[in-house]
Amino acid sequence: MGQYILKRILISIIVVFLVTVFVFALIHMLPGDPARLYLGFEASEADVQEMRVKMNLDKPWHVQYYLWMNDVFHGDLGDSLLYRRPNLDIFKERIPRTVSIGIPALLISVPIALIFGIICAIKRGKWIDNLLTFFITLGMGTPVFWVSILAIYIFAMWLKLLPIQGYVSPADNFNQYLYKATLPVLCMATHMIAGVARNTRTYMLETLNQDYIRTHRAFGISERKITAKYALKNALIPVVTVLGFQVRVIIGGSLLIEQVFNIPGLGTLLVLAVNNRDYILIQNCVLMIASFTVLVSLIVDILYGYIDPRIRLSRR
Amino acid sequence: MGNRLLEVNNLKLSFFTVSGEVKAVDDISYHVDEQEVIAIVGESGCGKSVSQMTVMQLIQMPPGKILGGEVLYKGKDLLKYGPRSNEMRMIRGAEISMIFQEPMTSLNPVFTVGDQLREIIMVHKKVSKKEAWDLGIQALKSVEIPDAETRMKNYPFEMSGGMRQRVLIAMSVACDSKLIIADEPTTALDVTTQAQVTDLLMSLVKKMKTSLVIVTHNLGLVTRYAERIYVMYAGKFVESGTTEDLITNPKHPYTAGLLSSVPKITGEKQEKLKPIEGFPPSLIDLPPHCAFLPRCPYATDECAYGPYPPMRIVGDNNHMCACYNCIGGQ
Ligand SMILES: Nc1ncnc2c1ncn2[C@@H]1O[C@H](COP(=O)(O)OP(=O)(O)OP(=O)(O)O)[C@@H](O)[C@H]1O
Ligand SMILES: [Mg+2]
Repeated sequence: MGQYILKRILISIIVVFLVTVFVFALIHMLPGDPARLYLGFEASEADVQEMRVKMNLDKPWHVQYYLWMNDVFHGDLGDSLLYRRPNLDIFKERIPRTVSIGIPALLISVPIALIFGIICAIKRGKWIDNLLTFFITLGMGTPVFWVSILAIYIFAMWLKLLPIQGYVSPADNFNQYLYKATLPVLCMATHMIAGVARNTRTYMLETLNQDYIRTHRAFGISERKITAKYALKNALIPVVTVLGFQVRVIIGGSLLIEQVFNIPGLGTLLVLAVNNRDYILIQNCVLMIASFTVLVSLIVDILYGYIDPRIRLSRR
Repeated sequence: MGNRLLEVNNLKLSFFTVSGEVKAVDDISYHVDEQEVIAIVGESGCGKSVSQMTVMQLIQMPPGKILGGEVLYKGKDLLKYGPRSNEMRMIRGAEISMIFQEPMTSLNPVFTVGDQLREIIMVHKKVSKKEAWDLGIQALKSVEIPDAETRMKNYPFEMSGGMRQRVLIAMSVACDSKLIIADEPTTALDVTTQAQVTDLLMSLVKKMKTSLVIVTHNLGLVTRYAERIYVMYAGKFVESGTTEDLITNPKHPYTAGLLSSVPKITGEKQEKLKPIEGFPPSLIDLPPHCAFLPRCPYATDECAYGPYPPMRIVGDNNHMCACYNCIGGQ
């Protein structure tokens, strides 16, 4: 187990490193001069040149990369060119908003998805399986922004139950938060249910076909206990990795959902940063998201090892 | 011999698949008395496992479907109960137990051996968790697993194949089953372990006065243990009788073929082994005539045009055979 964890940590570090290199290279291939954009089109060429030197844009790429990493390791995520203030402050402001949509969506979607998946597997081929599988497939094929727009149309414009867009922090006014966040949370949850449900169904079906399930049956264990205890634990081991994947789905989903519902979270921030060539903001934002995602994967992997005795007990 | 424990009459089961009906169990009848050891012998794929799982009602339906027959256990027809019934559940593990062919995959990988053993005991006996655990330890001791207390806390992957098969045997004796069905309990094991596990099973069965059905493709192996033998071919029984009668005086050409492909220990010079030529037929679209016909050295015209030969008595002690040209006349 010890070596298993060590290996995972090493892989995580390598992944984050590769992401930073990749993002760095990508950003520096984007057209447009950040110094010029920063100073505006009226600025003189001399001023821009001076700015380039100040921003270290005149140095070779590898030096720039080194300077960036050096800052990061000293806890400095740079200043946004767009907002002209520390990125860290911007993140502190925006992360809670994205989280306040993502976490409720995760909490709603996971139990529903697990239950759907298990019902489908137990009732395989029956009408309830067909119905749920139909919706799951529909959910997998439908883009999240389309679902969001449809939801806005039905619940906000037609039924007038919920607002079209906007955001209030739960700390400021919890009722207003509930009122405004319901639609985006539900859209995000819908988006997340399909994947987990389908995987749960597949793993559960696979497990129910195993020889050891036949053994449980052959010794009189009840069908209920077999599914709820003996099969579920086997099926959940791979599902745990899917849950880790959901964090990535939240981040991806928030890019679109925050746009549609006009929520000032990380998703909108990243889109703004890209549109304005705020390269310092982009690279640090991506670094942060990547580190977080990798950290979640790492936790999931360790959890996986812990649930699966075959990994937990392996000495090496 | 004791009373009739299990009596299977005209049992039929087919799998309905996309390529057609697989007649895996086609009208078989047999019985097991109390404390009796019988064997079901046949080549791979002839339906041995399926027939035994049908008795336990462990076949997935669909694709499987029972097309007829009865399974009388202590006089009651188990098929009337249905596979998911509580009655059937209480019989599995407590009255009839089954040990499977694949020890490596037959135990749940993410629960300890003790958890799995205790669960079975608690289903069938009114005991506390603690008592069930202790009974589990005893069961492991009865199958000669050393260090039973610590072994209880092991996961299956921490055990060898032979050890896992012992655990499965322990599960079948833990609740004092009256009948154990051992489906090729040793094929997956190496030769030395095979002998140990078989000897263990036999001595347990004697000690606990349990009846035993051994399923195997190795006729030579069971002649030492079984009192009676049923020979299976393509979903049907083709010969049955006491072990003595069957090996000294086989009536069906298939049985004779099986015997000549078994190495003999006695006899002055080593006889040449003669495997049966050809392959067993697919169980889909079986011909109306005898399924062994294409491989049979004794076949006549009658075999090709006649219907499938029925099982009939061909000798003393209920020696039965399904053949028009039984070896040695009749
Ligand atoms: N679920 C299923 N669907 C369709 N056919 C099946 C199914 N299960 C078993 N069969 C078929 O039933 C036949 C009998 O299989 P069975 O496992 O009983 O053979 P066996 O005599 O036990 O062979 P072996 O010695 O290899 O264990 C085989 O031809 C097999 O292909
Ligand atoms: Mg078999």
